[in-house]
Amino acid sequence: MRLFLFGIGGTGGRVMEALTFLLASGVKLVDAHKQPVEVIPILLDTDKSNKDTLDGASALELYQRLHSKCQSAGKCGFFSTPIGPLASLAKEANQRISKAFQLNFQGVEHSTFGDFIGFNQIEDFATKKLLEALYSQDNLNERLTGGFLGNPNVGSVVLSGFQESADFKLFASAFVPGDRVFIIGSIFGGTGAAGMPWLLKALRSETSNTGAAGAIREAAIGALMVLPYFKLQEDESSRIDSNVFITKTKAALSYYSSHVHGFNSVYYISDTALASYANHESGAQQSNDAHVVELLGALAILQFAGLSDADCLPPAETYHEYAIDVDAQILDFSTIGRDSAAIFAKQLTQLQMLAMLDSGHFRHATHQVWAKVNQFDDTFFNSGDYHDGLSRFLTEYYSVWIRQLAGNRRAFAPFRTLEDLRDMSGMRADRHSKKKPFWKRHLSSEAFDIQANNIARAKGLPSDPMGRFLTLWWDVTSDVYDESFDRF
Amino acid sequence: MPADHLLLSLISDRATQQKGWHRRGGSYDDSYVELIPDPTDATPKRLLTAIPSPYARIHLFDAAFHFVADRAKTNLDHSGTSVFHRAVSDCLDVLELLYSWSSHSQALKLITWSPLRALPGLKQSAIEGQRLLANVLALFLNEDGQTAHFDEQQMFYLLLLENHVIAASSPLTLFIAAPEAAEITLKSNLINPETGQIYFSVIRPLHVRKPDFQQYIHWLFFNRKILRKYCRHMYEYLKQSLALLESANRELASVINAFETTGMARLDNQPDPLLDSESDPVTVLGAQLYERSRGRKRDELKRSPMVIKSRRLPAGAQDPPLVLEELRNSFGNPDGKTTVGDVSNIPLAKRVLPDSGVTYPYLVLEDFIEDRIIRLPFRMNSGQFECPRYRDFTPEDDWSFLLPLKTAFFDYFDPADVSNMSRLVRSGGKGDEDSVTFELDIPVIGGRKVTFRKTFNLSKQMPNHGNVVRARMSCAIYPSLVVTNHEEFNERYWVMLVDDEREPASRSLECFDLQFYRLDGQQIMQRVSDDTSADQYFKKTKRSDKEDQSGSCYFELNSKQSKGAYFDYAVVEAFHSDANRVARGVIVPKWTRKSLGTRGASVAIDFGTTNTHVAWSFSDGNPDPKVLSVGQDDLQLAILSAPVKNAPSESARFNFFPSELAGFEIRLQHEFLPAIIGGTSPFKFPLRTATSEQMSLQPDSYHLLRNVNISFIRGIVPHRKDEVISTELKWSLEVTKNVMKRVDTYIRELLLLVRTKMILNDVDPRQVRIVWFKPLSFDGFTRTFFEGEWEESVKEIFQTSTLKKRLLCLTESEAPYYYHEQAAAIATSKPVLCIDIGGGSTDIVVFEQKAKTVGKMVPTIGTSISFAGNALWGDGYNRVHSEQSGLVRKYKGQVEESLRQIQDETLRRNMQDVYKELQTAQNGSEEYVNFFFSIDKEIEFTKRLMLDGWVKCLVLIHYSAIMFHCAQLMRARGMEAPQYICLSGRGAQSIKILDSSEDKKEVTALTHAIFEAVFGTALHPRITLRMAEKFKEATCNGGVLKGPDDSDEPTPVVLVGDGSVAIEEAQQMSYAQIGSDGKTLDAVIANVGKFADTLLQLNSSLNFRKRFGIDVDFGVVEAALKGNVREHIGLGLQRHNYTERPNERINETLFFYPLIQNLFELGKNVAGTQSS
Repeated sequence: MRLFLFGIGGTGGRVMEALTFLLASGVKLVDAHKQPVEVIPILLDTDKSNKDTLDGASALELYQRLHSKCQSAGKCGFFSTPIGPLASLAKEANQRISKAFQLNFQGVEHSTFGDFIGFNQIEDFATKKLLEALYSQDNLNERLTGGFLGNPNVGSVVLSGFQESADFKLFASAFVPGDRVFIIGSIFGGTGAAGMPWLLKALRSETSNTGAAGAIREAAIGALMVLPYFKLQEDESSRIDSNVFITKTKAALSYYSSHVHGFNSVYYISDTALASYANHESGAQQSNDAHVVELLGALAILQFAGLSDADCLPPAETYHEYAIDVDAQILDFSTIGRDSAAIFAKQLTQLQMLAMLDSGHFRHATHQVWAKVNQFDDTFFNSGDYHDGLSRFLTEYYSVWIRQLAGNRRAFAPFRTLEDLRDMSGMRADRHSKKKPFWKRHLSSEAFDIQANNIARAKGLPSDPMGRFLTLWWDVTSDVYDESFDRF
Repeated sequence: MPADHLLLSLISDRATQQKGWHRRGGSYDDSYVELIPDPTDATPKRLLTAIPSPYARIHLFDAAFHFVADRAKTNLDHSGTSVFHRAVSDCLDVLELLYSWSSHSQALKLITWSPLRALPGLKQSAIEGQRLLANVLALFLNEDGQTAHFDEQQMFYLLLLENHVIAASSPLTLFIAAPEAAEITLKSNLINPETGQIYFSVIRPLHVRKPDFQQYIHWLFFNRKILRKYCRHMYEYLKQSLALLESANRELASVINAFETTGMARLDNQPDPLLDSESDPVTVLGAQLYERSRGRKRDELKRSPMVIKSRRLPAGAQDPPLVLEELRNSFGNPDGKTTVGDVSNIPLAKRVLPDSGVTYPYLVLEDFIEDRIIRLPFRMNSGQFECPRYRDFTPEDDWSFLLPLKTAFFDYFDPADVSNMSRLVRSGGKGDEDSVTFELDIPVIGGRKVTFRKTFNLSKQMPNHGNVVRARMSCAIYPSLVVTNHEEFNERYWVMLVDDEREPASRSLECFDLQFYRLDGQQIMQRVSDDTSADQYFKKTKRSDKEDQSGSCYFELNSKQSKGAYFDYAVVEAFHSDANRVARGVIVPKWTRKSLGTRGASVAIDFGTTNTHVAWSFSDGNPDPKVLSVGQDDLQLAILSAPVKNAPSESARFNFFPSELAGFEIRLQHEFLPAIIGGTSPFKFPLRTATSEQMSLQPDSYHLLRNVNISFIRGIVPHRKDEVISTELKWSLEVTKNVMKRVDTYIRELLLLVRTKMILNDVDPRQVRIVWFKPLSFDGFTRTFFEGEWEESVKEIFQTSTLKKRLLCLTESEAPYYYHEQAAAIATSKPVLCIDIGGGSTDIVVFEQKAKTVGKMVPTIGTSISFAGNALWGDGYNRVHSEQSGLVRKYKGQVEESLRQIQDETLRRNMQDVYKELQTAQNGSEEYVNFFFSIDKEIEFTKRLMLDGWVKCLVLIHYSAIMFHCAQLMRARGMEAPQYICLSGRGAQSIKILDSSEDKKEVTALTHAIFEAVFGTALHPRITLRMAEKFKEATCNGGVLKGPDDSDEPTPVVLVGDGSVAIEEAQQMSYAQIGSDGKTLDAVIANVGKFADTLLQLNSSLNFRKRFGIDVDFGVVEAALKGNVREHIGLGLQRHNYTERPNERINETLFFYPLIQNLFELGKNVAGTQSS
């Protein structure tokens, strides 16, 4: 089974990013039969410079590189879930297909909505007047460079261009019965709010005959509807007024309730403990810190993938909400929801361990047996795969992300920052590592070395150095985790 | 399990037992949405487009109703200022706008948009965006077809205001407002006629709106019940609104509630179906929309208390206009915001009320008040012209303003209303004579008055102020009378316009013009045209150019008989060629309105060669002949300027003017007519017979009072270089056409004066008898001709007569008899001799007792002789006046000296000027003497002559010759000698020189002696002379007094001159006969000699020296009288053209022919004597 994951707008990108880290940590994306699911993310945003979506896409690209090193499909491990760009589905190389995860909207970026629809060239007087009744002058004169600035009615038209794109056609033709679609977007902003109903209607449209339109119409389609969870700092000059997020949300929900039918599974999430972000309408400066809502949203994707066909094929309609266990301003694994923690606490802790070791230990441990026998020497650590790959992923993306989660409101801070890896027993915020017999090393870098050395010569490790490294350390962190922490 | 977990959601109550991702029962539906607290109720910045559909705006309005209705669930209240409240209000505004459809003035249009029509083309577009747009529009129409009811109505109505869209139909809320609606309506000033507020500018819930609109909206949802489902949020709102209405307007609420309870619904105002631009009914979701009955707003406005209160409306006006006032709405209620702009350049029917946006006529200040006001350098005559009240002016302020009214004012109000409705308030300081505020009160039916104010300055000081333009002009109107019940007597009016702008730049320009306006039968003010085929028209004649004096022109207004020619007001157009000064002002005459009286009158007009006199009397009551006069109480002329204040006499008040109006005075006196005639006025009857006319008039271009008029001023001031004065007016066929015209003019002007006088004195002109006088010398043809002329003039001016004999012709000599008879000064059975000595002829009539009628005297014979004043004072047969008479030569110097002695400077200068004129004109001696007599009072000319023996001698000879002839005539006819002799005529005045006694004792004795001498016997009783104090008046008064049934006329007879036989007209001889028989001439010569002898005889018997102070040598007299008699008779015949027509009968005695020349010769002796 494949899961076509449409991430629309900034929120779509950010949830996708969270999913990336979850999958990187080794969380399994499996169907109801526990079979691995291939994720095909498609990021839709007309705001090409939106840093949120850019980050999401970059992390995905790195993920894909690292995933390709570990040919362990179906097995547990870091980066084990396949994430493929849409282009990978093409039978032939096609230049018009995006290589990256983010799709292009040619020519849209710098024109206004009016230009886009060729308003001045519309010959029919009544049509022009209808549009003027439906769209304000601001709408028509709005530059599309910056997304839709909170005007989903504009977005619903512009995004529809995607339907005409080679990308969409490829998707439609590659779709096979059994594949699922999941759409992520906020409903209080612009792009996401616009794209979600449009995309659904486009997918379900009786009149669509692109590719496997029939299969698509019959497919299970899920959606993560992200409701407000942050607000923007007051800025009189900005066209985005976060004070009306709620108002808009209500209007949108009201519309959805009456007019948007066809999602098989809808996941709602929001938070009233609102974070406040700098008010940037769009572009490079729109960089909101990662938020736990996005992480929980990513979990919804896992949930959806695991639904049985009966639960999510048409005409099924299920609706989901998320509940945290404790209304705390700073969440950790123990309060975010035990069921959820059970899904990803261990893996994420493993990835955290990997990140910690990467930053403070590996390069000083080339004398260790696990390094020697596997030739994890300086050359390895300075290699493109490691230095510009894994290490970059961990430091520039994952660690930043996990730090942002911890610093946001509400915060998800599952880990503590440690000065010295010689004692890592306090790395988890929710609990200390288990007390061990005196002959056992407590949780520390040394403990990892010992365990690594134990299994360094294990057979079955991939031949590719990076694959070998990831597999080795997956096993090591798994073992150390099991020794140090109880399961949820 | 305790609910200690927390939902990550937006609702307030988030505690749950659930954990992690878990299922909820359903979607976030409306009931969930209601649980979400919205922090932004207060002041949202903009309306939101949160819905991911191109039709988002349609959903938004639906959401708005939803939101507002939800909030009101707990606390019933539709007030609020949130975006949703605004959207609800905007939607209701659209519906109300549609409901008030026909009340709006702007270009509103309802067009349709249909996807079937519009989308296919768009889908084929070369522009990708258009294709996408088409697809998305179609996609959502289709996908939301059921939920948003697009399936029910895919077509949209688009409401356009001046081609900008302000609303579109909606399957969820009937209509939505377009995003820019508020801006567009503001820009186009689209006002809700019910509220006066611009649409979309104010948030108003339904239950505070107009009751009929509320009823309509509820009715829509009752009548088309499916709307309750399709527009469910809106319906929810409506139900709440009805509940709110219960307390706001219980009555209305019960009417609406009754829809349900009775199952019947009827709208009160019988609205009309609303139609789109294709004239198809507008139907949304199957509900047909309506508009208020189209005439309703108009009907409402028609009843506004601000409707002008006037007697009439302008032509074609459908609705009575409103009069708007600043800061009040169309119904006169203060609204603090209505500003009334200048819309005077917009046709009334296209005006749009500023407070409601409804097309309905209304009036503003600029409709009525000009931008410039004309200031006159004199006070206006408020007695004869409508004037505003002057406030803060002092009696010393000797200037005034023409009414700065536009003609539109008179579309509504009568000219007579002006004075009560307007004021001029002096707004400048003490020295500022040129700042004034004009205030105009316009009454409205509500009982109030709207006051329009405009301030004028010499130089415009404020944007809204006007200019004062100084103008030197004035005018006069003749007559100022309007007969209210007989338009035929209003057939002609004249207006004199004097232009006294004599600055070098203006001198060659006509600075003023007049336009006349008259209310026609349809109660519409019409401009009088110059099209002579029109019912009413004017003719304009320029008379005098501006040179060193003012210019003048004259308007004659004419009309058909059924319609008077008077005007209701006139517009003065000033300086039309000078953009900086061009201005208009209005003149409203206060006509003397009079209905025709019932009295009758007799009027006698003695049109004499030298003087003309008119007398009249009522035909009922005591006959009391009066001189024709015009006084303050029966003014005939209306003059724009006020009478002179504190003037010593009536004449000084009305006939003369201050120096500012010197130019006007000249034109009035020379070219028009004086206001006061008679009494203290120098202009009076008897009047010197003279006309004034424009230079170089052709016979066919004489127009009464436009370029020719009676010269009342002749002899008072010298004639002007720009006029022609004619004094040679007489009854004769032997004059030029121009003279005929002058005579005609003279008579007609007199008749007009008479007619006006009559009407003003309650006389019906149709009951007026006109008596005119003819010389006895008229032959039959001449008489018939002039009778015809009189008949025509009188008929034209006095209209069809109800009198049998309205025109009576008397001989001049006959008339005085009636005068004396009436005065009971004659009582006899013997003949009465009447002698009228005029300027050119002496007429003699004998009255005898009519057979069988005791005491009734009738004229039996008459004769006319060309021997009158002229013979005494003239130059004999000397026609070129090469030699002045002895008298003139003698007295000229004395008179000149006397003139120099006159104290009154004006009088002196005037008389000297007239005298100079007399000299340069080379007039005959007679004219000099006439002048000398006319200023007798000043120079005591008569007194001087009474001391001059030779002059007395001439007078004696002159008088005696006439008496001698009369005695011979009566004797020849076999009559008894008369007991009474009536003397009349100007020429008879000279008797005074001979005998100044009251009873003319000496002259009576002389007369008696002459008759005795002729009859050759003593006569008993003694002859009595009857002389009227004023000879001219005796003639006229006699004419007036002649009984209407006295139709006897004297038989003309001629005594050839030999003293023997008086033959009747038919037997008169011709020149040829006289020449051939030889006897006649000899007999005449002998008779002249007999006269001379008789005179000498009487001198010795009566002693002329003692009796009359004539101490001349009568030998000289005898020689003179007998000298050259035959030659002079020949000269006389020649002068009277008998030599050229030898077979024509001579209708005059030859007796006087030699006397004419011989008296002149004898007169030369006067010069030779010293004056005493």
